[in-house]
Amino acid sequence: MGWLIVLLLIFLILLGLPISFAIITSSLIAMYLSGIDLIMAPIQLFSGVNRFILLAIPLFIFMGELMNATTIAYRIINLARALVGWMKGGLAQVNVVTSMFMAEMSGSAVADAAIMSKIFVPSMVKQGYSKAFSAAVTATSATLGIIIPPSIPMVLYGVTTNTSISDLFLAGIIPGILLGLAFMVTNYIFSKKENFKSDKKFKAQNLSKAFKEAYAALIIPVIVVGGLIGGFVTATEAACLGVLVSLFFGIFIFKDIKFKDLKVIVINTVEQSSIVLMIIAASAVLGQFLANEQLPQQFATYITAISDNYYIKLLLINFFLLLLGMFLHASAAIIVVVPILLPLVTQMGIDPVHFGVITCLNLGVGQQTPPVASVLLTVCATTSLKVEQIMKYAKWYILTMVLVLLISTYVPSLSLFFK
Amino acid sequence: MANVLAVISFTASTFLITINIFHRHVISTFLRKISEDNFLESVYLYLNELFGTLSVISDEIPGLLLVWITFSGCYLSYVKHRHISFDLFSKNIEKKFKTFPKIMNGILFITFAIIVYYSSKMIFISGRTFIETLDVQQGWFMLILPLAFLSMCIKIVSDLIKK
Repeated sequence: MGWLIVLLLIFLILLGLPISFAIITSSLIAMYLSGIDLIMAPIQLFSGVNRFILLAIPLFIFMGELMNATTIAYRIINLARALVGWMKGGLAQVNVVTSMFMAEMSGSAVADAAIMSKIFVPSMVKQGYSKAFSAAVTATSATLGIIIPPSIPMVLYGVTTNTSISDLFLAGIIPGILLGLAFMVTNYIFSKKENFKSDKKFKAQNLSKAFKEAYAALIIPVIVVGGLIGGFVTATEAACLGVLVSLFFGIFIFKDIKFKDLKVIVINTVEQSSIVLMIIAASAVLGQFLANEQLPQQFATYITAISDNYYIKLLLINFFLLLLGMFLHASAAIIVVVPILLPLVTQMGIDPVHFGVITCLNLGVGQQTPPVASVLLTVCATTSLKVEQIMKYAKWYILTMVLVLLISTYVPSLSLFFK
Repeated sequence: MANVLAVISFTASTFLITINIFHRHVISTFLRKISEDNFLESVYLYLNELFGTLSVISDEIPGLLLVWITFSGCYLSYVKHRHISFDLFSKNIEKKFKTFPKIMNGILFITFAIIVYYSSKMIFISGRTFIETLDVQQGWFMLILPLAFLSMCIKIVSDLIKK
């Protein structure tokens, strides 16, 4: 019956029912058929989100929203221009480096893509880059937002699998930097081919000036990630500290945020958070049923039956996650599917922290590949370009991501270096 | 109304977490250390008493407020059609079968109505239990479930009437 309910869930999602409500509907049917009292549904919905650690999600989203409302992004761009603007394909490189910096302040790739595409695409077009290329670089580099800490999918993974969130954040650093560097190499190849020029010459003076202007923005990730990794605060408290520091800089130092704007920012935060939190709440209902049916164990048996080879099994898991990422939103995929995969992963001897990075990288690729492609579609919406236009260039960046994914998968020490 | 609830719940939970951080790191660690055997000791004791009381509840209440954030936000997102869905096939089906949206809304209405009924039952059964750190009944925090799902039921019906 477990598989029947999973099929029903897939059917309801394909029919276009919002994922969280599809999970609740199929769970109610499953409970009814199994003779479980339906009162368990609201009890699980309530207890599914009544968890202190989950508050990190709205707080990290709020921090990202505050970044969007301030001039912090522009200060970071100036710093990135002074740092790498002199390279071949200057603005494309600046785009990637800015995304790496922004990733340290926002845990969401979609949020990063929304703001970056509004800023970067017009300025890159002005400097002679094609609109589609500019959009492709912006969309794909936004994925760094979920690999470099803090990362909302990593918080979700940590909560779902009971893995240390600070370990996960640490594990994302090297693969995140590697991905950023790989994007820069891809930029360089395109710049050579299409003769993109550098932005401006390197001057130590410019770098020092840009650094002074951006110092406050750079303090935020140091406090958030440093506080968490140093063991001074929990993930929720780290996010709260990030919010307080962002508010302090936004209101008193940069004077970009007014108190009347805060209400709109909070409502937007609550709406965005509730979308993810509802999937978590709904999955608490379904998760109980799937665990009773021993579905994760059955899945592990199927995969093991295909091959005994460790590397092939890893490849299969990656392929499954890539496919999943193409059809499911990252949060939903982590909450619903990771608990199913985890017994197999543990059985194979893969460190759950390493698997967390693999999962996020896979789902990062999924955010760029249709039909779901949440990040790519966000950039399409802000630039008025069609998916196929951006895909002309984006496919090479996606290939770069897959390459980094495979390296990170088969070289666990990259993720576990700090552990 | 849902906007106000969302803003209040989010602000209150952020405030309580801030109090907790302040109490743990500034008062209990820093102030305690610098106030040993000097005039600051009474300041430390007063602030520790004041923030300590709030700090106790700030481990439990923010989690409970998250329930309000989630379900008030759920209603707001539902009204604005912001919930994540996979609409590749549904758009094509809608073009061919005009009754398709009604069927989907019907499924949602039944789901929401079931949750309204059973969440109300849950409040009657276990809502009177007091939470651990404050003399407040758990039911107050559970109340958002029937409220949010009932509001979504009403939204479905009102949309149907408008059409």
